[in-house]
Amino acid sequence: MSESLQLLQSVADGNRKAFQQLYEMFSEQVYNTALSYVQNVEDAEEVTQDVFTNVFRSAARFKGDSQVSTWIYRITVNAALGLIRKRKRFAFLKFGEAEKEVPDFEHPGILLENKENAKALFQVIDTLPETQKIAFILSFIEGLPRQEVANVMEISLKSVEALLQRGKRSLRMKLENSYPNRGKKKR
Amino acid sequence: MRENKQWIEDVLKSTQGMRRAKPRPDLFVKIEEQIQGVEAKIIPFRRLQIAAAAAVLLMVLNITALSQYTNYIEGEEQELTEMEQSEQSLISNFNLYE
Repeated sequence: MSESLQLLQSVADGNRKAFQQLYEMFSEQVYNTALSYVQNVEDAEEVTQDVFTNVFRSAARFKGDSQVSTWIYRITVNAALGLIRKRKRFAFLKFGEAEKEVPDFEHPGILLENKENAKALFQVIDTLPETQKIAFILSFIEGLPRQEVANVMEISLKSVEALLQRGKRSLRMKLENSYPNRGKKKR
Repeated sequence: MRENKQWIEDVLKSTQGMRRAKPRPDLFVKIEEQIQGVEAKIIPFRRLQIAAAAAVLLMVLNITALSQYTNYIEGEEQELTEMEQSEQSLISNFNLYE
């Protein structure tokens, strides 16, 4: 039995120390997935809180039909989606106010030499349809194998590959259109 | 055009080598507080059962007490009526001159 499964079973018995160990094991994974999706620190923290509260309450209901990490990734994706949808639902209440410009998102983990390019990447990732965005983040940012992405999203491997293909094509087109003059050397 | 395509490739590869960001150290404390807040709101079912049983018992006791009090009062009234009646008959017995 894996360590994470043992910990989860202890959490199901109400063991708070086991819960803390589980948090230490998965908090960065959860936080980074959330951060890549919601693109701001406060929302990523809120998602992380919701995920682990959910893990604590649902530990006894984990059936063991997937790996613990897969289950936690799934909860994270759903929590991040839920938060974005909630924000969009209440955004209409702010009509009449000047549209707030979303600041460029800088992921704190990006290497210094890649920061500007990463900013551009996250901007266009944010415009992808939900499923393409999830597949792209899990695959290219979290670095999950494609089968694992399929397990998290509860779709087939073929569907994941199709989403990634469409997502990358879409990103290239958007980058081409958004920054047509970038990369050209000044004469 | 080639430079543009190179730039696009660079952008798509810009997450290579990235490290995972860490959540702030006190986030776990906030999570524990959130869990405790949820636990405090959930009243254990056993406690509800005991509270309901106590309420029923109290109601039964009150009804019994009220019923006994009502019976007592009725009894008192009955006695009073009988006394009044017997007094009247006594008084009528004293009416010697009829």
